[in-house]
Amino acid sequence: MVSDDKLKEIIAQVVGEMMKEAPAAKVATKACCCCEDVSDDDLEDLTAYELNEWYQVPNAKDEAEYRRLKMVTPARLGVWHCGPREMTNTMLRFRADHAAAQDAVFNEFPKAFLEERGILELQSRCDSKDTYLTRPDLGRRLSEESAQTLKGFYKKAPQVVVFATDGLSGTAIEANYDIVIPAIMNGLKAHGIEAGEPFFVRYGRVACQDEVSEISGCDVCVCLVGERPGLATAKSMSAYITYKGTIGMSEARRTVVSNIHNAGTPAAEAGAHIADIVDIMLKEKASGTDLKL
Amino acid sequence: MKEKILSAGIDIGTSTTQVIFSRFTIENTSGEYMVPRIEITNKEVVYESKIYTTPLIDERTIDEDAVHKIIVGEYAAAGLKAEDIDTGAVIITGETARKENARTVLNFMSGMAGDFVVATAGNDLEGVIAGRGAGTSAMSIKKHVVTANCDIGGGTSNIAVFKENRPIDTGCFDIGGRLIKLDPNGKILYISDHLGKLCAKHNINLKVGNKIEYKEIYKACVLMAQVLATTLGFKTFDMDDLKIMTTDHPLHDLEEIKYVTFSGGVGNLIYHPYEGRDDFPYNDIGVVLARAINEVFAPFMDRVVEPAETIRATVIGAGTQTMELSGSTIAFSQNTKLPIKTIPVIKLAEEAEQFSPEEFAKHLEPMLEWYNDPDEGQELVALSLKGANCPLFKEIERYADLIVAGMQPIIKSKHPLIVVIEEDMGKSLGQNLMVKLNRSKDIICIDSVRTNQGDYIDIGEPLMHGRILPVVVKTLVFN
Repeated sequence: MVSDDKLKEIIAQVVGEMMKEAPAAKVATKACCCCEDVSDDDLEDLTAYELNEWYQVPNAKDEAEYRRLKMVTPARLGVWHCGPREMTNTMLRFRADHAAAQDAVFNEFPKAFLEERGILELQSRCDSKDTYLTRPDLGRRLSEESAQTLKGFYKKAPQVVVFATDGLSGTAIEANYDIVIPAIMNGLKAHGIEAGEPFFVRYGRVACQDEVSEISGCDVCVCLVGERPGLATAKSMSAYITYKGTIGMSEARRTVVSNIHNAGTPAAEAGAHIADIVDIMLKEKASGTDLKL
Repeated sequence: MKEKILSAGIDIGTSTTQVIFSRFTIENTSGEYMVPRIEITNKEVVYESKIYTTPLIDERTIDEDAVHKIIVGEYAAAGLKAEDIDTGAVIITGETARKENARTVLNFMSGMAGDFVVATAGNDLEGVIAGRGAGTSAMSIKKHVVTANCDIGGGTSNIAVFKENRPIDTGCFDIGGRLIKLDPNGKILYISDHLGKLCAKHNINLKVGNKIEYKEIYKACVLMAQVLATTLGFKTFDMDDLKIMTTDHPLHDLEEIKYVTFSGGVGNLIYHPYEGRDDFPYNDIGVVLARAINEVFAPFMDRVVEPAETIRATVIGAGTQTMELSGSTIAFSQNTKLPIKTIPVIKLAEEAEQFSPEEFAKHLEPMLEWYNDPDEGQELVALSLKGANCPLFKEIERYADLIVAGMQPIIKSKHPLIVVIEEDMGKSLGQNLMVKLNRSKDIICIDSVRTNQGDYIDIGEPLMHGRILPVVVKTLVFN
């Protein structure tokens, strides 16, 4: 057994040696303590870089190859390290991305976005973000007032209804709406299909499209919903498409097109693809696993 | 969902004729819940013929019946019928392509290789096909260096330079194993014009009717090898010699070539020297030319690499490397008759894509005029564009406006409107065009295919339940 005193001595010695070995870290700490009067404009915006370009390996044996590797993944490769840890800027960027994901979930979808475009706003049975997050069942139904509004919204039942809901990322809807909606509408026109005017549902979950289908009497319903954000992007959107959806129907009857964002499927091509799917659904009279695409 | 298609590759060269069959597997590699991404996931050569000597009636004429017999025999040996073949390419390479009956041969051949074939393509494309078949193109992306393949057959050496798996330059020389033909006693039966000129310039004594002298022919072969070393940029020898031996044009000295590979019959002899005692085992100069190339390239041996395929490079390239797939999200009218072959491609400089529709049309007009025959009217052309990455919808509409304004002569004609765009926006752009033209015009709008002014494309019948179109891009001009 090693005595306590001996142990203390060993620790003191080891710590002493470590201090000697790490003068660089000390300098760095010091440099960080005197930046109170720096304005935000002078600070580098760490979120301005694409993760593919975030590369800080010094003197790499083959930087070009490393950069090519980074082009195929948004993973944080080649971000370098300080001792056993990531660099401060990497840590800050990670936290910034995490904050963007949090914002996408928790921020209210801006009313101004809807007003500028004259988009009708409906709401689920949730009265707040908190209810939305804690009560999925309420997010699947429209509020009574919204149900009433929708009843009078279309003069006659449209063949196809396309609408958006914030879901878990309002940011995704903001980023893609202006591209994907006209692309779908144009694609449907190219197929000679009539679609009703699009609208927006606040605090909605995917299945609220079933009530929309029932009330509007449409054949095909396209629900654009913000996907749960990750650290790579907060702007990813999905489209859930059903043929004659009904409240409480099996989830297997939904056809989904996911990963609609700039690093996934470009919104315009996704919209055009969704229009083709709608065309096939109307012909085959089926959706989800019943429909072979 | 997997689809398998059979491809035939047929190479009728100056000296040899070969056939291969290969099977492509086409799959959607993206998830069920995502926009499809359809790719060729596997290419497998399922049958290789033996290497035949190309049957000729005389110096200038292919023996059509004999070639036909060879091909029919190979189909039977592989257990395949013409209708089993979905795609493929027939290539008549080297000097034979210039022979008068090449067209007749191609005519009976197109029925044999499915409805979708590349005809005789010209030296530049042949060089590219050989370089792809040899594996030199793939090497350029694997090692991230500029590579060149020099396919040395009987009549010509076709060189193609590759960077990141794309051809960036080509050149062709009248250098090959059959520039001199001998009778079994070593008497010279034939000397090509170019080689005759080269010999005259250097006082090399080679004449038809005379018995061949090894020392003289070796001298001539060294000169030809030096021409190759010059154009590849390894070492500059005589520029006049280079001019004499050039078929159309030499390489354009664009980028330093890191590795060179040799394919073709002579190429094979460079890596695997003929071991017999005879210097002229094939009654030609192939063996000697290979020796001379080895000598001239000896100081650069670290840059000379053996490719995956040598003698079969062209036929493998024809059978497996000519067809590519369009992007997976494209748009085309259902009643367009396919395949359409040899469509000329017109393209403006990329800056023009930012012009107003009127200006764009003004710049495009003379190019369309080129294909406007006074008797036949407007001929079919395809418009090639770069496009925009992740475009806004406004941007797509803007592109549609450019196309509608610029392609009026085609829109008014009986031909389909064909647009080939590089960026992933073909489906939305195509749908936009359909709406703009009141769904009354046949449209083919494909993306993820890179084409340039002066290219020709073939568009085949749709695959994978009509989602994608197979395309052959025939690049005839570089730079």
